[in-house]
This record gives sequence, structure tokens and C-alpha cells, in this order.
Amino acid sequence: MGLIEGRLHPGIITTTVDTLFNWARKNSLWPMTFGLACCAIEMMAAGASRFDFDRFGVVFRATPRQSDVMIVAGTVCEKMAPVLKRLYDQMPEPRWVISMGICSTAGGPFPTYSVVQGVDHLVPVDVSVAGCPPRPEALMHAVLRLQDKIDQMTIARPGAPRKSA
Amino acid sequence: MVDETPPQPPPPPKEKPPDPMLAPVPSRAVDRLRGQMPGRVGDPHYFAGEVTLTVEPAHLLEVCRYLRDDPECRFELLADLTGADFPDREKRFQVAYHLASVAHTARLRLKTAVAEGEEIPSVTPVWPGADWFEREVFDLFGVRFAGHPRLVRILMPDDWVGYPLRKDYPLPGFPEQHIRYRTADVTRRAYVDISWKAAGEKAAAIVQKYKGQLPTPEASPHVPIKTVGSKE
Repeated sequence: MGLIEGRLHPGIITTTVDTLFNWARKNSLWPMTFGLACCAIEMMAAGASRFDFDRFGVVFRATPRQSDVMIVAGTVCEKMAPVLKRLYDQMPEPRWVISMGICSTAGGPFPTYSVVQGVDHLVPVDVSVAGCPPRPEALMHAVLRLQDKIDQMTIARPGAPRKSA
Repeated sequence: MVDETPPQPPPPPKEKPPDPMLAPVPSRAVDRLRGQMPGRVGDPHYFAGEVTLTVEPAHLLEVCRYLRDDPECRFELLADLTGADFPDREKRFQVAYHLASVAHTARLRLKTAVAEGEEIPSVTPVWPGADWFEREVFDLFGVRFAGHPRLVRILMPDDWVGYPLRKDYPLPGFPEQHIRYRTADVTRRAYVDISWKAAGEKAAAIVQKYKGQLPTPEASPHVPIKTVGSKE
């Protein structure tokens, strides 16, 4: 910074490409609503006025094409598995997955023939949220943790962690 | 302080009063059926003010039509249709028809039973709403309904093998069924209609294959599952 310090107009700031991209990505995480069970109710509560996800730039989209993160909220049945995988595949990269609640994380109280024992069998999960169902605060915490994770990304090698500043 | 009173002889056993839960309740439908169609239905069973009649599958459609059309009965609503599995019985599958009459504010339950491989006449000609109920019973118990317009699975995936609510079906399912979703290409699964005959043969084969090896539904420990990319 020493070379160009004080030489540019005061309105111009300098930064790295990584910082700029990560800043943009982490502050406009548009989740695809994947509400499958009671977790979806808490997810809706998180989006409504009391908890207000909009202040994190989290705006729910009803289509995978406009989404950055898939919040799997609820029990994933075997019949739903191909649908979930297809929707994940339709999301543009970079994309992330939040597994909300114990059902989507590990099958929850349903160790049965019809329930997928963890959505990480189908798609890579970035953040898992504990709870049955998790409170909106817990989902909010998951989004903040995901923001931390995105902050460590670098475009030099996609997905590789950057050395922490 | 010691109790000085001599021990009392036990009171004489009292006559057990009849269980009020099993008390008969008046039912116009039962009277009409027994008067108009003798021999078609069994003795009524009463419990908690509800009336249950047993009927043979051969007489089912006739009895159902009568119950719907008779002005004294008018059971125009099929409220529910359910199945149950009693593996020890000769006719292991019991199918129950829960009827309601809006006009007469009355309810009636019909029960019929079939052995594995036998058919029950579909009541869709009487109550079109039986369509999905019968598909559900077929899906989960493998009971076949003759004359149903489209008897295919409704809850489980189309190519599922086995009937999950049967008592001999292991709670965690069969390993094959879990593995196929864990392999890479889950989205390319074909949605196909499998005939009941082929499905029944596949189900019988897989039950035979795992006989005595899989945990019983009562024990229900979780079958280990494969993760993405595992070679199997």
C-alpha cells in the first residue's frame, strides 16, 4: 500500500479481488427455500419481521437459478432425494448448503426405510444447525458462520481456504 | 401402635358388571342390513359407541352399494379406508371401511380380510374417493383391489421394492434401497409403473433373501448406510 498511498483521489479505496468478491458474496446470500417439515416454520420466522433476515442480505428465492445457498429445512425422504439433488445441481456456482435441524443433518428421530440419514449423502453440506427444530437465532448463527467461511475463500483456487488475515 | 382388629375375610367376589365400552348402540343401518340382506354381514361388534360389521370380500360391493343407496342408511361418504397386517391370521390383511352418513349423522365401520395374493373388489365404483385410499393400502401392504382404475404406488417411490407396513418388513428397510440413492446418479432414476405381479415377486424374493438376517422391526437398530462415492 505504501507505493500508492496518498497518490489517489480520496474517494478511491484499494483492496484485493478476494476481499471484494467475498464481501459481495457473503453479504447477499440468497437462499433457496427448501422447507420440508417443521424446520421450515422456523425458517419462515427467521425471514419475517421479528428476526428479519433481510438485514444480512438474505433474501429468499423460490428458484434454484437465483440462489446461492440451499437451506435444507426438514426431513428428507427417499422420494425427495432425487428432487433435492436435481435442484442443487441447478443452482449456479459458487453455491453452499445449510443443513437445518437434526433430520436433514442425520435423519433425526427417523432411522427408518423412508428417510435419508443425513442430507450430506446427497449434497456437500457447509454448515449444520443443531436443534429440533432450531430457533431462528440458530439459523441466523449458521448464516453468520457461513459468511465467515465465505470470507476465507479465494478465487485463486476455488474452495481453498485463504490464509486468515 | 399395633392394630388390634382381626383380619377381615376377603369380600365375596362380585359379579363383574358388563363393560360399558362394549355396550351395544342402536344402529338403523345394522337393522336394515340384517333385515334386507341376511347372511351378507356378520354379527355387529360394538366398542365405545361405534359399530363394526364384518363382511366377506365377495359380498363387499353389494353391501357397500346398499349402504350408500338405501334411504335409511345413506352412507354417502367414505371417510377413510385403512389396512392392517395380522401375520398370524389365515387371512392376514384386514381392510376397514369407515363410512359416514351426513344425512343421518351416523357412522359405520366395515371390516374385511384377505390372505396374501387374494384380491378385494375395489369400491371406487361406489365411492370414487376410494381411489387414493386403495392405492395407499396397496402401496404399504401390497393388498390388491380388483377393478381399481390405476393401482400404482402413491407414497413410496414408483420402483420401491416391498411393502413397508407389513410386519415382516424391517424398519430400516433393505440395504439395496438405501444404496441406490447414495450412488452418484440419483437424478437419472426412471419413474416407471411396475406391475403388481412383478412387484410382488420382487418383494417376496427380497424378503426371502434377508430372512432371519436383518434385525426385527422391534429391535430396529439402524442399518449402516453408504456415503456418496462409496464403491458398491
